[in-house]
Amino acid sequence: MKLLVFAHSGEAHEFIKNTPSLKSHAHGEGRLHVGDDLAVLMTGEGMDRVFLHLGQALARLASVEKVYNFGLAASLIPECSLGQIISVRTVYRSLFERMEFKSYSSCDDLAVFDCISSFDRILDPKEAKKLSHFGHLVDRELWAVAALCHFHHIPFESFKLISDYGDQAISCEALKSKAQEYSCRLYEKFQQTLKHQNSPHPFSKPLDHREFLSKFYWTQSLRRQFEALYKRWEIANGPGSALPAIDEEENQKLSPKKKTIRFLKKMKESLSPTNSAVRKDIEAIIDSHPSTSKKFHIHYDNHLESKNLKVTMDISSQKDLDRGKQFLDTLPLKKIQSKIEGKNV
Amino acid sequence: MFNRVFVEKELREHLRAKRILSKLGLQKVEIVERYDDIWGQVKKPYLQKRQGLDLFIAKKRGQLIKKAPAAYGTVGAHHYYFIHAFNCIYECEYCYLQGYFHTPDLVFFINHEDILAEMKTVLGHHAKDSQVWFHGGEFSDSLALSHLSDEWEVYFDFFKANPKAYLELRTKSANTKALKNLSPLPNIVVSYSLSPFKVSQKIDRKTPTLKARLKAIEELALRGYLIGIHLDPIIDSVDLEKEYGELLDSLLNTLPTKQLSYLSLGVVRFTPAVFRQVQKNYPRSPILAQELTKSFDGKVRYCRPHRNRILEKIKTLCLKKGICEEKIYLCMEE
Ligand code: SF4
Repeated sequence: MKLLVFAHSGEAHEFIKNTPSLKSHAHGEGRLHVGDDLAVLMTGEGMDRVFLHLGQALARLASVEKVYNFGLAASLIPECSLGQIISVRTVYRSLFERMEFKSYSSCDDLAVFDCISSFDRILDPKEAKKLSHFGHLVDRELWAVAALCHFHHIPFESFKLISDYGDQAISCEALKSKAQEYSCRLYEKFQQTLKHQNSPHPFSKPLDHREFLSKFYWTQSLRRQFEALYKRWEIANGPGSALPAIDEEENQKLSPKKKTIRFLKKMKESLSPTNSAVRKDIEAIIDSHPSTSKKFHIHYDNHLESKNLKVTMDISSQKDLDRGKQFLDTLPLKKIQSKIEGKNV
Repeated sequence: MFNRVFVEKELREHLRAKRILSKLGLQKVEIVERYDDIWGQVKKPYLQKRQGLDLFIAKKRGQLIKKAPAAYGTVGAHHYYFIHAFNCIYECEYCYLQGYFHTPDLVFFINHEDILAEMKTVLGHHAKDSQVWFHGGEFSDSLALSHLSDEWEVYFDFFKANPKAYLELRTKSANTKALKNLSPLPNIVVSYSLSPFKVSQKIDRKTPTLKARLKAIEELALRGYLIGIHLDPIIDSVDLEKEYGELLDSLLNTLPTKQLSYLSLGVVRFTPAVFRQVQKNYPRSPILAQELTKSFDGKVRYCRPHRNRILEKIKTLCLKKGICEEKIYLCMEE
């Protein structure tokens, strides 16, 4: 679902009029209207109201895939002229005396203008000048919209219609009288944006390993591991390349979870041949040590960084102690260290 | 060339500031109290550099010269780096600046006399016969914009007068214009970072091509400059030796070994913050398919046996190609 966020009802008017499926949400206090694939929220002016009402709306609407913010902004530079609709690239926040460090970027890669959200309307030319060092437009809400989107991992886009200049702000009444016109223009922009976004992406190439992956058992954490490995897999082997083959016969003996772990291990080994080869070599040295057993074991650094070895010995008798001494005497220290040094022994 | 140019108030009449502005052909600049009232005050996404940068002309305050980390340069010498600029116009996918500063905007520091005075002080702390190196290009490419910033002349004068001090200018730029008007000195080395063609083409974004860099090396060598080479960051590949063999052949065809001052080898490595930026900025980068692991200290790199093997292979190759061992040093963190 797309969630469209406005500060004022006047700006949202045309959107609501043209979307018959929108119904007022039972708990939305008349601010939230929900339709089939679209919801409209009117937060009221200022970042505090956005935090309150958008926060609630995002909690109520579980399926928001993208947030669009439409509204008015003042321009700080002559390049953004009155009446223009600007897609925002990054939004910053003014904290009276200084700027908030944290910023948020929209998902419009082609946007080139930045917006500063301010707690107050900017009426002082000096203040407008200062802000112009950080951005091109000023509004009252976007930073809060973006912060909430960031928190909920929802991408956002923002379109601002330039209603005045930062150092020559016009009255609220004048803005209100033009609300209808502004709403029509913003609605047109939204329609254009949707048309553009619905055209197929020239590079998207749907990958479908679903059938193959359905043979495995997935927990959240295993899925995350797979996703991280798969990113590397695609870069290394090309998009859509086949995943490592699985030996059905061998896998039959394993539990579903172990089967998945084995598959991920195969992926990992294939992506990290050097690392895997060194580990195999070291494990072969350890296994070939005559006294290695459950009671006497050699541990090497899992990161393959430190040359230190750890030895564990479970000693419960004189015989164990003697075997332990022998175990230490014949420890293949040099051999293992050479492997960690990257030398072929 | 720049979206906006900011000049610190106290520098607006400075000759160097004026010269830069006149080269940029700018009528309009923003006068600000201090560059860092703006620069770095907000988190500006790194890749916004693609849509243009702001330039700040400023005075460097605080520490102007810093001790270089271990294995920064040739063994047995003292190494320092100095800060004459922040940020870079190029866009190498592995660049550590993307996780270091909070903005990609450029700063030219123009109080070079202060930097040189501090160099003099540092020199005074070392014995007369010790080798003291000052490296430029730690936070910005040394030559990329040197036709604008035009700073090297005063440094050349200083190093001429202080022959025991050494200057390294690190670069990937083919912009040798500023150096062509200066006379090479035996204690000044222009050093180039090189990677094999195939990998460089993919990840050294917006930098001069390998061919252009080799051409620049050839021209500088012909003029009598000493050249340093950094084969860093080395990124492993199935054809590693073949690719580096070809690179060394091309290099040694253009650069007489007597003018090769040193050659350093280093494998790709990242701090966690920089690696996160690489993942964010270049999600399809071939670097991300490498066998890099998050190590015990949080750094992202090849495991020890892997990086040692890579360094060993390339070092052997260099020796085979006739580069003498004394000129090779390894950039190792341990
Ligand atoms: S040339 Fe150096 S400073 Fe510039 S982007 Fe590349 S690695 Fe970074």
